[in-house]
Parts: sequence; structure tokens; C-alpha cells
Amino acid sequence: MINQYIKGMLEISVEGVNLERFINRCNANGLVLYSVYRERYDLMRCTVNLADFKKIAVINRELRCRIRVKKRYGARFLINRVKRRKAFVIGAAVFAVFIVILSSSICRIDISGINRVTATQILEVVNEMDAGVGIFKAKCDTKALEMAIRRELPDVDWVIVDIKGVVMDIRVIETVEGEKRTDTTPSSIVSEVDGEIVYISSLRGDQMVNVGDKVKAGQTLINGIIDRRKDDNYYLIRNAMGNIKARVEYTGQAMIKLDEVASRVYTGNTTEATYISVFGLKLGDDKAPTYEHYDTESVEYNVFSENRLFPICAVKKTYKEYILLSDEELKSKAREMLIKKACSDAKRRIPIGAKIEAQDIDYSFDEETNTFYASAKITAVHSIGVKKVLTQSEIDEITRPEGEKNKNG
Amino acid sequence: MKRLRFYAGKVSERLGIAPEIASDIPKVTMRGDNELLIENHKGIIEYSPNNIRIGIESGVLCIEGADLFLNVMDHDMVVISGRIHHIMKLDGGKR
Repeated sequence: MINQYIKGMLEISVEGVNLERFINRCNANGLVLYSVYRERYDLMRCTVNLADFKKIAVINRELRCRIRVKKRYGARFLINRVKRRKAFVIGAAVFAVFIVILSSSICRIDISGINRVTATQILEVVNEMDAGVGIFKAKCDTKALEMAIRRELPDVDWVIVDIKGVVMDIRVIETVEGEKRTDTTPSSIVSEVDGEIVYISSLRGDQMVNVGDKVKAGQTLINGIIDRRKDDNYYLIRNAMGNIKARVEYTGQAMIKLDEVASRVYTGNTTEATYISVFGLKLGDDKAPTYEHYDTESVEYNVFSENRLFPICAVKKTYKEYILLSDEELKSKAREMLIKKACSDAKRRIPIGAKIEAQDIDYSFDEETNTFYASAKITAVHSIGVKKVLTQSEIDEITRPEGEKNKNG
Repeated sequence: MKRLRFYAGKVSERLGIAPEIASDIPKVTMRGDNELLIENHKGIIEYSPNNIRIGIESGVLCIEGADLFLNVMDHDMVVISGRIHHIMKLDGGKR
């Protein structure tokens, strides 16, 4: 079919009486008819090869059908048309060449995944490898570029260079910095507060306490001076390391007088009234609300500043309803406030991240002074170890005994 | 002639050649319900968009349908496209 298209095809209409005879004659002479369609009894359409059309003319001499060419297909006719429009063809060819050239080089570089490494560093490596913007894609060796980036930039753990269309996509995965041990100063871990040990894990140093032991603030939990006299006849001095958690009690106190507690509680219901005051006369609606108890807020807007000659102002009043608490309600509110105060007093010393286990509150009321007193006891579990640097004198004092050697680990 | 055809059929069978190539046996292939390929035909007897009659070796093949047209027509092969409703073979000579 493509071959026929290149050579050329014609769509013809055949008008005549015995069209079946026409078709059979064409076939008998080796002509191939395509898309034969009968429109009327005496009219049909079909498509024939350009080379066969001449033979149809010969066949038709006897049959005397009326043959008209309706359409022309094929590269041959296209070339004839193009011959008349040379400038268009040249322009199209130049355009195609430009498109091919432009799309075969890299126009943009996208870099992603960088944090410590900068885009400038990566682009420097790319330019050194002759793989930047404007370079032909075929000339660009992505594998070599990946290896060069990893070699030149030690912070890059892995890199993927991919060329999609005219864009070079560089995806970087950086190395993860590990913790470096720099502190080798001899030290022990001591308790920051009083508490009961619930968890201890000694990574370096001598463990001095166990789970369940009650410790005091300043007590050594993990000793940096490790006693090896029994086995190796020396002391090992280390920078102690470990994790110790303890259950610690925190207390808080608070007091509140009944008079200090607001006996009013606002319901949230409000009413507004606005009116204009002219020389003291009220023009507008200023009806008092129907609330039993209410507070009034008033705002005035002067029409003329200072209002000396023409005291005209707009007044907006807001009435807020409140209810008065009974004695029992007041005491209950006071107790709530007191408990909150006592707990916050206790909690302000608890470190962030501590797990609170229990909370106990005791309160009492002094009728003479109308004052509530409360004390809160909160039990929390958290890490209690802090590093204490061992001075030389402390080390000497412990390791001094006669006939024994000291070694620094 | 009949004997020649008989022997030709036997030879082609032994050699593994398709019978429609070795002789004039018509072959009808239908694809779906809108394309029909007829090989080894003897010419168009009648053609209209609703009815096509094609001569074959042992009679006439009638194809009834709607919007029928001859997609490709060669001296020994014709492809009929359109909505095909009926295919009938009539024995004997051309009618």
C-alpha cells in the first residue's frame, strides 16, 4: 500500500450501464481496484493505481463508460505541488534540521537531593567533564559523570545522572554524618536529683547502682574509674557513658483566697445599642437589656474633634450578661484554680520528655482567712544522669594505695 | 478436466501445498461480521450496496448486507467490507 501511495493513486468515478462488466474486464486485464463503492445503479467509485489508469482508458474504449478523476493521491502529485513552492520546502527542511540539532543537545540541568553539597560544586564537576548545557547528548557519558561526581565530592554517597529529552536530571544522595567521639576526658555519671532507679544501662564505666536503688543528688551512678585490681592489677580511667532513668517526686504548693476568685461568670450573651448624642440629647435606641446582671462598655466617636462648639458624637454601648456564683460554686471554682496552680508549680521543675506516672493533690480550707491551700505531688520518670569531670586530685585519691599501679586507659 | 483436477489435488496434498493455490477451489474467509475475503473467484455478477453476487468455481456466492463495498478487487481475490447479514452459495452455473 505504501508502495502504491508513493507511485500514485487516483480516485475515479465510473458512470455507465454495465458496471459489473467493467469490474470484470479490469480484473481480467490484471488491474487491481480498491474501495469499489456503488453509489447508484449507473455510478460507482473506485481507486486505481496511476499506472493502471492508462489501461482503464484502453478498456473503456469498448465499454464506453464515463470516467472522471475525482482525487489524486500519492507522493508523485505531492512532489509536483512542492515543485511550485520551493521556498516553503526549503524553509521546512531548515526548520526540521534546527529542531533535530536543538533537541540533540542538553538545554537544562536539574539537580535535586542536595543539602550540604552545593549546586555550584556539582556544576563545576559537570563542566570539567564537558557535559554541561549546550553539549550534544551523544557526547555525554552519564556513567563517567556519576563516577566523577562521587570522586570529587566526598559528601556525595550516590548520584544518578539521567538525560530525559533535553534535560539532564542529577539526583544526589548525600552521606549521613555519624557522631564522632571527641570527648575523652575522664568523667563519671552522677545523679542530678533524688530518685529511685528504674532503668540503667552502662556503656562505659563501672555501674555503681542497680534497678530499685534509691539514689541521692550527686551520687555516682557510673564510675569513670574502673577498678581492675583483682584481674589486671590496675585502675582503668574512662570517660563514663550510659543511660539511667529514675522515678522522681516533684512537689508544688499553692494558695488562693476566696476573695480573689471572681464571683462573676460571663454567659457570652451580649446586646448592643447605638445612638447619637447631640448637645446631650440622645437620638436613637438605648434601651437597657433584659439581663438580671450585666456590665456596660461604652465607646464614643466624636464627629468633630474635641467637640467644643458642636458636641455631637456617636455612642456604642455593649451590655454583657453575667451570673453570680453561689458560695458552693465559688469554692468549687477556687479549688479548681488551686489544683491547677499547685500542679503547674510542681511541673515547672520536671524536664521535658519525662513520663508522668502519678499525681496526688491534697488541699485544705482555712475558714478564718477564707483561704484554700493545696500541695501537689507528681511522680515522673526521666533520665537523671549528668557528667561530672574527674579531676586529677580525685583520681589520685582513689588510685593512690601503695604497691598498686595506675594506668590511663 | 475433472481427472486433471483430481490429480492436481492429490499432488498438492502430498506436497503439502494449500489446495486453493494448486487448483481453482474458492476459499472464503470471514473476519468478524464486516469483512469477507474470497479467493479464486470468477468475477462479479452483480454488485450493489445491499447485494453482491460473485461467481465461483462450483456456483455463485451471494452476499447480502448493508453498505457493502469492494475493498480490494484483484483477478483472483476480492475483499468485501460492510455489514454482512447473509452469505449463500448457490449451486450450478451463474444465475
